[in-house]
Amino acid sequence: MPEILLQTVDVMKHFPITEGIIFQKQTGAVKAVDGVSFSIEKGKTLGLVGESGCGKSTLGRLILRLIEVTSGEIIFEGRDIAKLNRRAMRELRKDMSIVFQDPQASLNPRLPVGMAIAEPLEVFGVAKGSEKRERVKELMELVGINPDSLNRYPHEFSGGQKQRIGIARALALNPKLIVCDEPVRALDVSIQAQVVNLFQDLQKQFNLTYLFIAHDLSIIEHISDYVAVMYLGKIVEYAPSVELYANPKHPYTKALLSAVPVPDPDHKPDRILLEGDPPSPANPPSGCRFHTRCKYVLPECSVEEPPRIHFSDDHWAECYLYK
Amino acid sequence: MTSTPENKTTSTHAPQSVFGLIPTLKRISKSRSAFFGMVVVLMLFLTAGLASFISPHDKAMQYRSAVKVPPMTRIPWSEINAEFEGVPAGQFQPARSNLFVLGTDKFGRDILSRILYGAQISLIVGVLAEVIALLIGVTIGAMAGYFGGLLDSLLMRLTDTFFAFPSLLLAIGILAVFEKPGLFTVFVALGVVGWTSIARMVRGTVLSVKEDDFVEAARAVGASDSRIILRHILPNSLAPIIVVGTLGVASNILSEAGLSFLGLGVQPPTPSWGIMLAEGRNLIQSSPWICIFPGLAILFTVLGFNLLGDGLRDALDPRLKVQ
Repeated sequence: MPEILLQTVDVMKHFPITEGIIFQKQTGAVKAVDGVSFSIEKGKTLGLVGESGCGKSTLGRLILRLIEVTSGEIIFEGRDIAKLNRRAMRELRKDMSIVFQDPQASLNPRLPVGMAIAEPLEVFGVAKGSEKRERVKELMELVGINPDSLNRYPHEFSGGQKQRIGIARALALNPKLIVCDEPVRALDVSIQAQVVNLFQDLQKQFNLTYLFIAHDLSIIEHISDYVAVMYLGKIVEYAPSVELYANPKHPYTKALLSAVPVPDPDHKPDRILLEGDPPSPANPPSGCRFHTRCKYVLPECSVEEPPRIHFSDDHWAECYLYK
Repeated sequence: MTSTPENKTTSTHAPQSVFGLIPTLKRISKSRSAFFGMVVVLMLFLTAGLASFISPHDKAMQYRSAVKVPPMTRIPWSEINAEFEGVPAGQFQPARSNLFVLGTDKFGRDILSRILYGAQISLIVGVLAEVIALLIGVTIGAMAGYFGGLLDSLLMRLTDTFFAFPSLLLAIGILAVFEKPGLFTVFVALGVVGWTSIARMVRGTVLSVKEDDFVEAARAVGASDSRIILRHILPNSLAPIIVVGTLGVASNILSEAGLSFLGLGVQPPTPSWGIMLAEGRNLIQSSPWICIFPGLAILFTVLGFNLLGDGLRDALDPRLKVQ
């Protein structure tokens, strides 16, 4: 039985919508994450895909408890981190880290990169003086940045280099889990491949577990062991990467996959075009959230939430089509 | 490692920092008025530092033979030497010249020398009061902006309360609490009065900077609130603080002159520009130079600091990078 590192149980995050300035009253809630359950095995990568605004990044931040959950459990190594006190949570931050999507914005422009990488070491007091310096150099070497440039400022580096520095910082405390929040989104395609390869090398080297958030399906296919497809705050399909790409079940997954460009001019794609925009997460459709845009819509779809259908041990989708 | 590192060395030409000292100075010297302000302020500091070396006469020496003499009056050396007869050696600085460039006041003291020494008082009060105001204002503003919520409301209402008082009246009130007015009480009073606008400005800046990704990145590695404020938020809020601080020095110098004019500030015979104005105001028709020159000193000093402050505002604006 593989060891489960991280598990979420029915995690919800509702951002309140308030009206009024002095006498605020809550008039609604944006259901950014609305009942998400998944688990990641140690040393594996779970890819999380979905279009903009579906709650992917919110989920990533919830797992690191950068924002508080509304309800549900986030179990990391057997402990529900949503219920930990401040001090215990701080200790746990050694074991989990995050790589942000915008390397430019996620590095303090007034802090030399060496100090940015050293920050986690300082916060936990694990290394001081020359030992700290050596560790920073080692980390820079690990991600392919010249260790001599540790006194330089972030604006002196290119986007790809900045993201490598962000990765070095995330690695500083030998974490077990790294949440990668669209880490290659802001990079050129050629640099994207290098950074993704770096992620894979590091995973092999340190037995890291990734939650890899992206909206680029080809990158997810490349890096993930499992893929979860998210739509409007919910996971609609979950499967091993190979299985999902070969045999997608949920109509939304099919639509996403049909939109992936294929580098073959003779390829006549069987495009499934989604009509309209995703509905507002403040007021999601009743029943299956996708029924407003689904071309296989059935009468029951708008009435009740669809059941979870298992196609194999680790492949499921929530859809009435397979009932 | 299979991933190929991008070009390891970064560009060799100088970094295009927006905040470095040299680029800031370069941009200031592009604007004629800001450059003028910088020169005036530099000269003021030089004057204050070198007052005892460059003043032609002692700041308190009363020449009975040269009472209320107009500018450019030359007194024979024999008379000047006669003045020093019977005075214990070392009590007064010996005269370096027999010329009274800006005339003398009603006690026969050299106005030029007193203006040079007065620069010391103006700068000490102006700068130290601003340091106190910045300490209070930045602390309160940063805490209000960073922690938000109830603390924010409480601190900002406190700020509003202080802001509602006419500042000079409040300073007079604070001075009344001290038994003996003097240099120390003046800058404490002005500092306690001057922090309100700084607190408001810092709160606004902190509110915007704390939403930046690098603050969240610091939180993700477990950095404490004080570390986030001191290491990440304040260094990135520095530009407006420098500008407001510079402008604040000008208004403190003006307030000090006002308080001293009213007899509430620095006490005679200390040469303060405000006291010199007060002492000369009855003689403005018969001996106008007693008032005019200290008045001009105040005018140019305040103008200099204001122009420098405005110049810094433009020079430190990151949207206006070096062309």
